[in-house]
Parts: sequence; structure tokens; C-alpha cells
Amino acid sequence: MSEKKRISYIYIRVRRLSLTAAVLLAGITVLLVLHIGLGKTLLTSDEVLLALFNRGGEEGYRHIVWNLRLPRALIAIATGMMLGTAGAILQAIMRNPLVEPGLVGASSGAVLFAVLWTSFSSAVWMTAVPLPFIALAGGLGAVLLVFALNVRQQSNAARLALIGMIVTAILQSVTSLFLLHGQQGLSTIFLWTFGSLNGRGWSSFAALWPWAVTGLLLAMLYARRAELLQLGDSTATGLGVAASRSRFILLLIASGLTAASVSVVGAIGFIGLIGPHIAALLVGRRPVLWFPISALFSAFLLLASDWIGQSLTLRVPFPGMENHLTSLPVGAVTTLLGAPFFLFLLRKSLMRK
Amino acid sequence: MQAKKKLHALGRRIVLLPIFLFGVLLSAAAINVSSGSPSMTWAELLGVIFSNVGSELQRTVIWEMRIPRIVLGLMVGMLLGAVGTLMQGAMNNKLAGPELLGVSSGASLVMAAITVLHLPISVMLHPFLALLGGLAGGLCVVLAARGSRGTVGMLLIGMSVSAILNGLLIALIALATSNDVNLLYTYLLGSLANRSWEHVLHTLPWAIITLPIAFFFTRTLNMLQLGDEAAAGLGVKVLRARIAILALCTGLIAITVAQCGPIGYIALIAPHLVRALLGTLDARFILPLSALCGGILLVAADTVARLLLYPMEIPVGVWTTLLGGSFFLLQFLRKRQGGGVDV
Repeated sequence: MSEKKRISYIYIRVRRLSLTAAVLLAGITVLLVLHIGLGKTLLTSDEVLLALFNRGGEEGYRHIVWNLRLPRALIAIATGMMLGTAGAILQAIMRNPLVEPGLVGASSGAVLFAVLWTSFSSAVWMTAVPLPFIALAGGLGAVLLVFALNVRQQSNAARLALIGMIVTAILQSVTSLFLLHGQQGLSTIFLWTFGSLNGRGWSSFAALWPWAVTGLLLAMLYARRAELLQLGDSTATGLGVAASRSRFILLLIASGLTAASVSVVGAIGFIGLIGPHIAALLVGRRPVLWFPISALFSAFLLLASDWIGQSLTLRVPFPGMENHLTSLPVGAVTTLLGAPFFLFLLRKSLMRK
Repeated sequence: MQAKKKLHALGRRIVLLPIFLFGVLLSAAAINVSSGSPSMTWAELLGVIFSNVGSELQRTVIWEMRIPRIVLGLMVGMLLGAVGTLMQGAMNNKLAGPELLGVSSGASLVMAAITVLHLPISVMLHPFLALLGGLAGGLCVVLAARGSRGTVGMLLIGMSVSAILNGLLIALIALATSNDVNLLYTYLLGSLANRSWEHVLHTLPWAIITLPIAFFFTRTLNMLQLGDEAAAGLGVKVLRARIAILALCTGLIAITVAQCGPIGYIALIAPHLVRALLGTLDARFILPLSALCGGILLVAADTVARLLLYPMEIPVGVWTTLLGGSFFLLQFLRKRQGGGVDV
């Protein structure tokens, strides 16, 4: 009887997971076509599909779709997945709903190190060590710093978030200091601190995907350990998990995912917060189910944000802005979506106390 | 006997501290004025300032560029220092400051919108609109924080409201033409570069009106520090007083933001420094000295901003955030260990 019940429970879970995943994948596909169609030259979805599958259509369209818009959309999906997974990992191991890569310093630390590395290292070193490794060091360092500053007190969700935000503010101002010192323009600063997908091509995607694949696979491999860690350190130790080592490895994975995405698109905020939360509403907080759904949902969200940002720039005319060139950085859209969401979570967590 | 001795020490400090602060101010200002391009010797500098000798170029640079900048920095810093004392007193929270309560970002968003969208509004009205923006930002924070308790919650809510407003600001900047983007430097980071007597004149009347009003509130501040119930027992209408003080603060901040953008953390640090140096919590002494200290901090930070990476100039807001943020973090951690601030 109970065995039967258990099996039916698992069956429901699996069905729910596959249903959610299927819906999300379908959503991403539809959005991908919409996203590719959007731009200075508007394409209908027919034209996009024709160009994507090389079934005739205009040569110019095929160039636009394949060389300009597809890589951008793919990068959006990849970074969304990476940030969503990183956010879910961080929330799981810190057992804190107010955490995401941008709020514990991971993104800003990675940005700072990337900026330092690109402005001060010699050409030989630049080719020898890929940028994501350096960014990883910075991100991990910043997270550990935030951890260390918070470690003495009893765990308190809001406090950690506050320390993370202040550390982020400091790191960001150091970054702008170096960028200004290196005579970089303001646009570079915005790009790094807010994250943008403008002008990303296949070369960026080539730098990104190995990290995405490795990181996401590792995250899935360690999902079971994350699940045990969620039960608390002593329980996890009792179940045979080396708690602090597993936590460090998971932290490393999360930092790696964040750092790689940051070194390609800059620090895109709040995606790693919203994605995991909504995913948790859909499938619950068991990492084995939660991580992949969170990745998919965040990818969907980031693609949608970029689509929103682009269509706002293209369609809404502001006075005095007729001849702008750039489109709204996706980081601004995610911040506008995510910060109110954070506020909502924060209120919830503060009221509960 | 003991009490008398203590009072005596306090009196001595109250006399000595301003003298010391003025000394620091003079030296920071002197360094700021004399350095840069063209750089001047002290003799030349004194000649230009006091006896009107020296070349035309030197006179213009000193009188039209460097001195107004210092005067403006001093004034803005004073306003910020006063704001810090008022806010921390009114909210009975030693970690409060305009940048953490959404007021600065609200005001700078409005200013940025005016600049980017080329709204036809006279310069004299800018502080009013910045005031409205600041009030709106502060109101958002207060509404969002309603019902939640404790320092950390309030600060976090303030920061996330600031994040939303900054997101809007970035959206504006990204949509603007590149020419305006450079103008907007000011409204994101805070800067004193390229200020003239005109800016000083726009700030001066506001400062003259609002700073004395701040002094009216010192007695109330002292009572509010005792806690809400004690203050109510002493005859203070707590809620009304708090709203009045915060509205005044918003006004003070709006003026500074309209002229130089959101210069962070000066308002936070100045009262702390003065409290530590004076060893008293009496707002009647803290407020003026904190204003003075804020002015000095800003002038000094501006000097550093101009000269440290010369010839590249760093917006002063970057420095103040860098130093002030670290200070805040230290303060926060120290307080928690002592168990002083409730969370």
C-alpha cells in the first residue's frame, strides 16, 4: 500500500516536472522566434523560420538571423540558465530566500577582477589565462568575503542581503574607478555594471558555452548533495556528506557559472532571484527538480527581458530620443522586474519574524 | 565633581574641534586651489587671491573655476552633514542616510529625466522638482517598510527601492543620445566638476533658508533619541515631528542632488565622526559640527578626486561611496557585535 502510494507520488512528481519542462521549452522556443524577428529590420515569424532552416527566403535575412540575432538569443538563453542555476544553488546552500549572485557580491567581484585583468595584465597573460577564470577568482573572493563578514552572527536572511548589497556597492565603485582611470567611456561602465547583450556574436557564445555545459552538468551532479545540505549541517553530516566541503564545491560551481556569464555579458541582476523562486513555486525546492526548472525559467525570463528591452527601444518614441543607437541594456529591464520582486520577498520575510 | 569635570572636557572639545576642523578645511582648500593645471606656488596663489596680481589666466582659473567649486563643495557637504544628523536622530537609527532611503535616487531620477528629455523647465525650479522626486522616493520606502521592524529591514527596503529607481535611471540613460550620457555622469555618481558661481548662487538661498530651520529641531532630536515613548512623555508629538524632520531632510537633499547629483555616504559618516570626537549625543552640538564636518569631508574628497589620478578626474561620488561604504560596513559589524542595533 505505502509502496504503491510512494510510486504514485513519484509518478505525479515526474509528470509535473516533465510537463513544466515541456511548457517552458515551448515558451522558450516561441520567444526565440519572436526575439529573432525583432530588430531594426522586423521579420515575421515565417521569415525567421525560413531563414533558420535555410529554406529559401532572402539572403540578407539569413545573414541577419544567423550572424546577428541567433547568437544573441542563444547567449541570452545560456546566461539565463547559468544565472538561474547559480541563484538556485546559492539559495539552497545558504538556506536563504533573499540570495542571488548579484546580491552576495559574486557578480560585482567577478566584474571587478575582469576589469582589472583586462586593463592591467600584459598581452601574453591575456591569451594564457581565459577571462572567466579571473572573474571566477573575483566572484568567489567576494562571496567568501560576504560570508566571512556574516559568519559570526546567527543566520539572518535580511542581514546577509544587506552586507551583500553594501559590498556590491563598494566593489562597483572600485570598478568604476578603474574604468575611469583607464579612460574608458561611461558606456563601458554601464555595460559592465548593468549587463547588456548588445553586439554579442558567435565569438562570445563560443567563450560561453563550454562553461555553461560544464557548470550545469556539475550542478546537476551535486544536486543530491545540495538537497542533503538543505536539511541542515548536522543532518547532512549524519547522512554521510562532508558538509563544508560539499558546500564549498557548490559555491565554486555557482561562482563559476556567475563568473562566466559576467565575463561575457556583464552583471545582469535579479534574474538569479526571480527564476529560482518561481521555479520553486512550480516544482518545489528539491534541488534535483528545482535546478533544471530554475535554469529553464530563468532562460525564459532573460530572453523575455531582452525582448522587452528591445521592443521598448524600437517602438516607444521618447521626446529627444529619436536618433539613439543602442537598445536598452537587458540588465536594466531585469532590475526593474526583479527589484520589486525582491522588495516583495523582503517584506514577506520581515513580516514573518 | 566628576560631572563638572566631564562638562569641562566637553566644553573644551567644543571649542577645540571647530578650530581643528577649520584648520583641516583651510589646508584641503589650499591644496585644492593651488594644484591642477596651471599649478601655482603658494606665493603666486596668495598674490592672486589677496592682492589681485598674477596673470589673467591664473586669476580666471582661481576665481572662476576652483574657488566656486570649493565653495559649492563646502555648502553641499554642510547640507549633507546636517541631513545625516537630522535623519539619524529622527529615525533613531545610526545607520540612516539619504542614499539608503531612496531619497537621493528619487531626486536624481527626476533631474536625469529633465536633462535627458529636454523638458523646458527653468533652472530655478529644478530643486523643487528634485524635492518632489525625493519625496516620492522616500514615500515609496516608507510605504514599503510599513509594518516591518528593525534597522536592517528598513535599510534593505530603501536599497531595493533605490535599485528600482536606478534601473529607471539606466533605462533613461541608455535611451538618451550620447551627449546627454556624459551630462548624466553627475546624476548617477555625483560630481563637483565644472561648477561655477552660478551653481553656488542657486544653492545659497536654499541653504540659508533651510539650515537655520534645522536648528529649530535640535531639541526635538534630543528627545527623540530617548525613544518614542519617552519623547511622547516629554510632550513631543512623535509622528508629526518625525515627518516634519524627514520632509526637511528631503528638501536639503533635493538641493544637493539638483546641483551635484547623489553624493553618497557623507551624510552617514559626518555625524558619526563628530559624535566620536565630541563624545556627546547632544544634537545641539552635533548638528553644527556635523554640518561643518560634512563640508570638510566633501572638500577633502573632492581634492582627492581631482588630484589622486591626475590628470584623470574621478567623480567625487565614487570616492565617497568607496570610503563611506567601507565605513558603513565596519560600523554595522561593530554595532552588531556589541548588540547595540536591533535587527
